[in-house]
Amino acid sequence: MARTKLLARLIAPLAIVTLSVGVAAGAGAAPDKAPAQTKGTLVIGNISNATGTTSLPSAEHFKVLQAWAKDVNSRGGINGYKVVVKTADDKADPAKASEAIKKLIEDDHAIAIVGQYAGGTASVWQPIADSAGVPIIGGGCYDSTQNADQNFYCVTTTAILDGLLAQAKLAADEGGKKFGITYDSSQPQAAAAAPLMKTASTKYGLQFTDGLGVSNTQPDYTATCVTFKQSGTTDVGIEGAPQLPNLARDCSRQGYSPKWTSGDGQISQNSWLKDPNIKEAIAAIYSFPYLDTSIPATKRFNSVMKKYAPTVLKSDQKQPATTTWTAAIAFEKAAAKLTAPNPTAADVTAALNTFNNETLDGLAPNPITFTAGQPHAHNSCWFTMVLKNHKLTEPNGMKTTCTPAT
Amino acid sequence: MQDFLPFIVIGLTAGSVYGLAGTGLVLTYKTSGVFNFAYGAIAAVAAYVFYWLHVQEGVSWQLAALLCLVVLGPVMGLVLELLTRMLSEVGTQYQIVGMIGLTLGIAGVLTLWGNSWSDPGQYVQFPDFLPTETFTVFDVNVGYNQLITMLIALVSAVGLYLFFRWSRLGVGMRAVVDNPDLVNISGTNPLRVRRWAWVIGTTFAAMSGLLLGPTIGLSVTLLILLVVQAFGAAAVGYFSNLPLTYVGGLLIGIAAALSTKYINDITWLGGLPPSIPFIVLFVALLVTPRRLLALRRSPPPPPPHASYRAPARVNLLAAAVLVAVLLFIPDLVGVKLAAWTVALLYVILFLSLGLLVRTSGQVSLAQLGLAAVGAAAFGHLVSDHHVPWLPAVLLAGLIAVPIGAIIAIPAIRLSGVFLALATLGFGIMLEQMFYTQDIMFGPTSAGVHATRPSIGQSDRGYYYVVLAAAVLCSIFVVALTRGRLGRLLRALSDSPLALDTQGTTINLTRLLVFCISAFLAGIFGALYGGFVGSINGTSFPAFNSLTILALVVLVLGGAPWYAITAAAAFQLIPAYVTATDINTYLQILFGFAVIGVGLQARHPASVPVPLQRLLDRLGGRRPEAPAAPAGPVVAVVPEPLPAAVTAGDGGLEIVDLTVRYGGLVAVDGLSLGAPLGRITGLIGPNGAGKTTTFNACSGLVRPTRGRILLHDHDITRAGAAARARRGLGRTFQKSELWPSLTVEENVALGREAAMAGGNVFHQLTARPGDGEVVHESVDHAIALTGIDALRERQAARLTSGERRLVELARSLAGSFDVILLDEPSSGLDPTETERFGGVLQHVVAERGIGLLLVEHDMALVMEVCEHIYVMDFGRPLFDGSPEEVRASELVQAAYLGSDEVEAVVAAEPAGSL
Repeated sequence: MARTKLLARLIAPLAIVTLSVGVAAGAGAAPDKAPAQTKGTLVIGNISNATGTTSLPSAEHFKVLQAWAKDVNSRGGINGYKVVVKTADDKADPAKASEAIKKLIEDDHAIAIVGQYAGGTASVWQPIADSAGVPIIGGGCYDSTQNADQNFYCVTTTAILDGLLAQAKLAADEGGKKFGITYDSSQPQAAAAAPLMKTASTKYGLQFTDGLGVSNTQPDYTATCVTFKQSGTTDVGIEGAPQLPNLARDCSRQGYSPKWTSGDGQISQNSWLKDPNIKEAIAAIYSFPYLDTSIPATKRFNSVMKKYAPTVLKSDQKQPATTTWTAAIAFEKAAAKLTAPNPTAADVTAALNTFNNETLDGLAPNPITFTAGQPHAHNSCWFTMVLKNHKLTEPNGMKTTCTPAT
Repeated sequence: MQDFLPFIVIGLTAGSVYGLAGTGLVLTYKTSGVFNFAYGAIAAVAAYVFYWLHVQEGVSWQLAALLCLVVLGPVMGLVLELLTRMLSEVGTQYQIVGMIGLTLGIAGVLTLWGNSWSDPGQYVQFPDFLPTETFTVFDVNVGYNQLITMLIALVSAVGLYLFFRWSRLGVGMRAVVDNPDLVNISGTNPLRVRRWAWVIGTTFAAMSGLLLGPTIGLSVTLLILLVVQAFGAAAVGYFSNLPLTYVGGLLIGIAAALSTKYINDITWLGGLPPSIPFIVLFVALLVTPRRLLALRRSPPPPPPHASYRAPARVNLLAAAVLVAVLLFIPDLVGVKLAAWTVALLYVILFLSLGLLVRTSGQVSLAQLGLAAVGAAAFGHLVSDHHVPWLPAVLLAGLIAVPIGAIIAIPAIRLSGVFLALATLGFGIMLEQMFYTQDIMFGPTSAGVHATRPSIGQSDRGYYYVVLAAAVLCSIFVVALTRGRLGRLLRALSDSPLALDTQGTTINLTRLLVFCISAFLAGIFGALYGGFVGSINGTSFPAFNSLTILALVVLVLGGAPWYAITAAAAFQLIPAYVTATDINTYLQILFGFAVIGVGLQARHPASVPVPLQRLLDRLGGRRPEAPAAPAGPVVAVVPEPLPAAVTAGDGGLEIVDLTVRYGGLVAVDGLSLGAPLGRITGLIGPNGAGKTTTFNACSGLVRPTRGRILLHDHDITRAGAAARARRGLGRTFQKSELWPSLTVEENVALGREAAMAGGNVFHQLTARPGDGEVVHESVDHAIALTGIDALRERQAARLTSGERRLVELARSLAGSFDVILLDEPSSGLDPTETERFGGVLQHVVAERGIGLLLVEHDMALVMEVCEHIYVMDFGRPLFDGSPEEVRASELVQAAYLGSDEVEAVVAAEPAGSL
């Protein structure tokens, strides 16, 4: 019996990969026959914390960019330029981050850093990219210092106060009355959320109940659950990714199942999807929903992933993957404006600074404008995703909701 | 009340988890004498094996659990028994670090194993195999699985309590820790008992793993951290009392639940509920009476091993070459410059920890917390207060000093495992509660902004700044370890008791080294901040202090070489080996290697002999003379030193001394005098109370009644060091030399310890003229005792007879005018003993000092003593001249055993003789 299961475990992934490739091939992905590339090569770099301390990015993350590059190159490149993707895992280690960015810029001659997921080490690597004049396009926009940098081109929702406002508004829009949050007290950013969220929820007519500090190492969250239950909290925000399955289990035991609200893509984690105790969760997501196939741009994402990186859409990265993809599309748009035989980082920066109400084929949360020498505006619109009955849906499709810019 | 009661119920259910883990910890400690830091890791092994069998391989949960509890638990127990038995020979520090190494190693292996089932970092649900239906108590739904855990914890605590109290095996398990030899004599095989103890302990850990797994999911890190939280419960039960440990777990659970409910409006206290176990741990260790925290098994002395120290010239040359190479690194390593910069930074951190661990023999698991304090302080100073860079770096170090002083409080009260636990609790508490406060890094990931100096704005420039800092810190630490404080610290590491009784206030020494260590850690934090740019708490995870500690024990060499090696291993290996899981592999390597180092501690790796010879030749050091036979005692009668005694001093006087240990009266109404210019004997059969009397005189035991007078001053309440500084010296029945120091250093400290005394500045460095006084005293004492040929020899390499002579020389070098000699002739042959007696008479005649001699060699006593006191059963029996003692039938009977003696002792009023 055990042996049969073992065999099944070995065969199943192969079957899935084969099937996925087959489906993707028939789903209208780009033709394999590529027109000849006539110009030079565009090397782009990505720096991410793929194997460090945080769980959201992982090695799957790099596959998104590589799949995009394969797709682009299979179409003859961008405006005749072949795209080469170089990736670097900084392991959340500042020394590695410094080494990685220098290698990308000095050795690999990357002309842009695209879809970074290394906010924790940004204070080390970003100044190096800045001083080299290499633009940073997209990726996680979580850090206020990072977002204030004019060399950083955020193309998804600016997830600082905007993210918290988005969560509160979404909770209110979805019928919530009383809002509370639970946060990992040892994690910076999460710890800041309680007072900010109090203001945000009041702004959208919600009554703020409790802000409860927790730790991922707690054996029991019942006290947290009962506190929320006693205060009649209808929506509980999750900040700093506490182990929601454990929290939901203890709350479920108390007959308490609030709507779990979060920002960004953790709602798509497989552990949330399968968990019998997570009855309903809503999320203001900062890049387009991976489920969407309503417009050509999202169809392209899905077909390329299925063709070149099928494991991404089954992993916990399936929603964060769209942040990376959006960054890649932003680069694609900028690169389409390049004409020099060997474009430089300065050329890419100049091209980015021509973005004027750029929608990225509908993938951007709001039209984006970059002007040289001007601070970049926050992107304060966001998409919506709902988890109900262990199924993810996108109730508003590609329609975004906006909160006033901060 | 309706809102309140549910939280009591919640606290009880959550607290049972701490109680369960805490009970297991105490069980192992109680039965093995070894605090099992690896308890969480062992529980995790069982959880992972269960998961693999049940979820991955489809084995039923009953069979999987049975295999874990009946096969895996006992097998792990037998392996651990063997491991800890071997580690028990090498000192507490290696035991602690060995178990921490085991934790790191197991955690690394399980991480790799877990990665084969799921993506790294992904949440993996652990199967909840117990019934999850609920019942309601005060509006709280309690799961039957929780109830089962509660009952198992309760039954275990009570059952094990009864087992230890009433069953033969249980009593044997306790006894085998206290006195294995006695257990053996009573017909019980101590090895068998110890194996049973470990089998039960690890099976309990395995059960904990299976019961705790469902609460937090399959994660080795979380399981280990969960068990660390249970340390608080164990501390409430002072690591010994099982029911109290269970109660402690419940109290922690209730406190955490209530604080969740009632403090949620106070934002800055958001970190309190999850920090409560660590606060309880730290506070419990601070306030629990020391007698309750007595080590279950006395720590063995540090391994006496010969260590090699290269000649100064070679060290200097090597350092110059290394610095020269490091100057060219920016041109050689390209993009890896950052890794080299961070490695140099870590040299400073390892130096700071090395001062504690390697030099003074203390353990700290809060070093990254201190670094975080320095980093945060630096950030605030440069960003908020615009303090210039250099003063800000130095101030950051100074701001970390008071925190170091707080950590030193448990160091003053506790040692070994309890100090390790207290510092671990403090470090985690700091991280949980304060890292995200505005006073430190603030609540956002942007943290605080740190700057670089104007000459170090570029990475290349900052590398040179850090290199300069690392060189300066290295010079500082080398100077410190080679100076007076270094000698004091090494002596403190070898025998704090001897240092205390030679006149150094050792609590001040401990405080001082913790403060200096904190200063260096703060400097590291500040410079690290400058490297990173903007810093937050994620740069200083408290738990990484375990790896740092393991590394600092693992590497070889003296300061600064160990720090350089450790920093290179920690930072440069991962920089150059690019395997995905290199950090996990290194964790496994460091973890298991540190166990190997512990097992080899009595025969540590050292520089190969041919290389030693080469280095000695290069350094101009002459080969050591072959071991000479013990030189003639009083080979040269040196010029007498100025008399230590001034006219009118009265020597030592004991008045009506009584010492009780609980119900046992060790000394009962003893009065005696040991005036100056006389050798006074104190004799009696074994157990008569002679050593207790000495301990009471030198301040190591508090008298129940009576007074101790030195030169007519009442010193009954003075500490041991203060008595030594007033002129009371002593030797010990069981030699208390400092084995890592040379003979000359041992003898010199006999004088220098009192000079250092209780003054911060005098402990740090010698005053002008001190060196000359010490030198003269050493020469004189060495000449008197005839040990000149042994001067350069490390004390660890001496024979027992030589040790006696060195200990005497150390006392003679001190500025003591009354010296208590506790069986000083044991280990000497008859000829040496005779000469030894001559030395004593010579010293008394020359200096006019007083000696009080406890000795079993009656020939020596009768030869040298002018007056003799006889004790038996703790009470004075007789006193008189040697002739009178020799003629006394009472004394003869005492030695031969007689009913008459007991009758006399019982009849005489205390102190009447």
